[in-house]
Amino acid sequence: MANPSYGRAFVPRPRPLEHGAPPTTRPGAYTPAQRPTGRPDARPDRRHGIVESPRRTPQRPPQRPARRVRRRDDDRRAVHWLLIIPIGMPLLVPLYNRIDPKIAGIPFFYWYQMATALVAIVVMTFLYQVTKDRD
Amino acid sequence: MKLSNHQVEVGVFVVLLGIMTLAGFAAARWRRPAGSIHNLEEWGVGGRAFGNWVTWFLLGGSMYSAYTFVAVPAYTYGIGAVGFFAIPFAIICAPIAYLFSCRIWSVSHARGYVTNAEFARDRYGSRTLGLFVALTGIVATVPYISVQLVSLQALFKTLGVQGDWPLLVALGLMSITTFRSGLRAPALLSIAKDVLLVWVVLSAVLVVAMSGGWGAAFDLSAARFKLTPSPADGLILGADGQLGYLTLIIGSALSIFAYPHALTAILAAKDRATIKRNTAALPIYALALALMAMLGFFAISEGVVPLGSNFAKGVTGDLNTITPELFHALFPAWSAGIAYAAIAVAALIPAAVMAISAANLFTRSIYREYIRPNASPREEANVSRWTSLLVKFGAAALLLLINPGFSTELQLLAGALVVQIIPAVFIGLISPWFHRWALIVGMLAGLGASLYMLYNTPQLSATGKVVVAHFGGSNWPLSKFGLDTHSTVYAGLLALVLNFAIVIVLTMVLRLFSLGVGADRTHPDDYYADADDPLLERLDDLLDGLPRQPHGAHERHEEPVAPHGYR
Repeated sequence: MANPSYGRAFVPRPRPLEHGAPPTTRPGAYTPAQRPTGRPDARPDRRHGIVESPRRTPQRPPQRPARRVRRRDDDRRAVHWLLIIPIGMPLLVPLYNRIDPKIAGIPFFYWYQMATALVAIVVMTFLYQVTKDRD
Repeated sequence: MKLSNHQVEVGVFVVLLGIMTLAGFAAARWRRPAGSIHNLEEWGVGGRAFGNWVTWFLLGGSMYSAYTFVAVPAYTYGIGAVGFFAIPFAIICAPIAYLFSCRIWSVSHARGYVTNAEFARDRYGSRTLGLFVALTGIVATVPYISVQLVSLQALFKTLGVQGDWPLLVALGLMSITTFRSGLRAPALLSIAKDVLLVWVVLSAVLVVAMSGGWGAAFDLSAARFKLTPSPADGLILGADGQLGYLTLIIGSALSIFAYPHALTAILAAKDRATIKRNTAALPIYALALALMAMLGFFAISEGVVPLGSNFAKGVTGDLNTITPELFHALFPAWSAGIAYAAIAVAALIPAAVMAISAANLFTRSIYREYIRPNASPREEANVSRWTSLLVKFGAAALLLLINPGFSTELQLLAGALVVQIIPAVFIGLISPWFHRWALIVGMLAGLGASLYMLYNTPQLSATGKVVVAHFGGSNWPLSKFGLDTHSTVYAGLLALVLNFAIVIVLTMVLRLFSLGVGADRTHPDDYYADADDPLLERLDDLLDGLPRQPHGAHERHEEPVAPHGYR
């Protein structure tokens, strides 16, 4: 989503260490000598734009290094729907509200919920492994 | 000279606590980032120096507290199956955390937030919303700290130590270590606590196995529950209790994501992968908790009674002492001492983390926003440290001045209150659609509804007599809505439903007329920022503890150039 309000000046966040020392610069970033005075005068886009905050949040320079947007795909992969299983299993209360069958003397109500914990670990570990390879 | 059992217990307990206090002081040097810095992020969020294992211990340490390990067996001892709700609640927290913790971690590191109030403020463009979120968070956290201290108090009562001074001493020691080392102290001590807890759980399982197994424990408990007049207790839930159980699970799981201390532990992680690995492993704690809960039934079968109880006279006694009494009865003295030390540390660590997060809320959303906007990072860190101290001792004062029974009810109220920030803080991670004014109105309505419902919930004895007239429980009977049923619903969840309804309706209206829509100061890419992003705010930029090195011009700059090039 292109954001028109990105044509703003880069105001580096003041670092507490560097009393008077210039912040380490990356190629393409503004140096303090170029820092504009006063606030940029573009109108803020109220609906979904970025409004200048006079505080410490760092502003993005126009030519920032490319971020790996592949990660966005990772987080939206359909495989995450598997998480319905560990979330849903403990919520099926009427289903597991019984005593038999028992394991090692422990009623079904209790060992089912413990089994859900194991299922949750397995599912999440699987998800982590599957989404990890993309990076 | 042969020491009595009691002396051995106390001795082992004191020695272990002493060792851990020293470790807490040493934590200031632990995983020290190169260069000592004086701002809030370093002290309040121990920084990205926390990798895999430490994050897991810290997360587990702040979410699984002594209250959990003492209160849950007390519930299963007292009412049976309903008390087990903590386990499914813990289990569903893990996948939800897996999905959403990375987002809040990324946006917080991209924008320099240490609290969720700041996130709400920027996501919806409203300082007032941030203020309300912060206030609710602080007000809800203080009673939660109090109930940790309740467990600690129950422990001291079982040990036979009279008076309130041991509680204050233990709290004072923990406070000093946190003051000095920030989040690193609880993190380091979480490791020690977990080692002890593993010992305790294994010993308990062994004892049960040697005593005839779980079957006997459950059968005897079932027999006992049949004898009590209340229909709600028992080995499984009654037909009317199922809805209450379900809503208690959902409401408690949501409240964990609203309480600030879970976020503090998450933010201290090194990168997104660390969070994912740790949330995947979190259900292991739920298993340990399940074993502790079943120990409540074992206590029934072994004939353990709470301190101060007198069943002949119908006096229940302090149920919180069930766990310590069980250890006292079953374990050899030295092992019981270890178990007590484990519980004590399990009470103090979350208390410390909660105090840190409450202090951060105050400093960032109240002090820096409204009182001194130009505060230097060093000043912020100082304010936070002192506030954390104030919060801890305030919670202790709350406990000591008010009846302990009431403080547990306070925690129920706190849970119902804190859940009302979910629309702002949790849904805000997914979408900025909600309107800031709608969120504020909805939150206030939800808070009011919770207070009203909990005020009007009495605690009934087994025979139906009113024991406590107000704030006696957390479930609201559906019959009050005119429905012909005995089912109850968790009050916090009902209030949250009302909250959401108001927020959605008001948002639609206000957006229709484009009235005062706030601006989202976050960027969609922020939610995916990871450790190797050069623009990431290093939240380890902040103070943890008093400086031991000169700073400023004489500071050593040993920053690694890769992977973060921006400093």
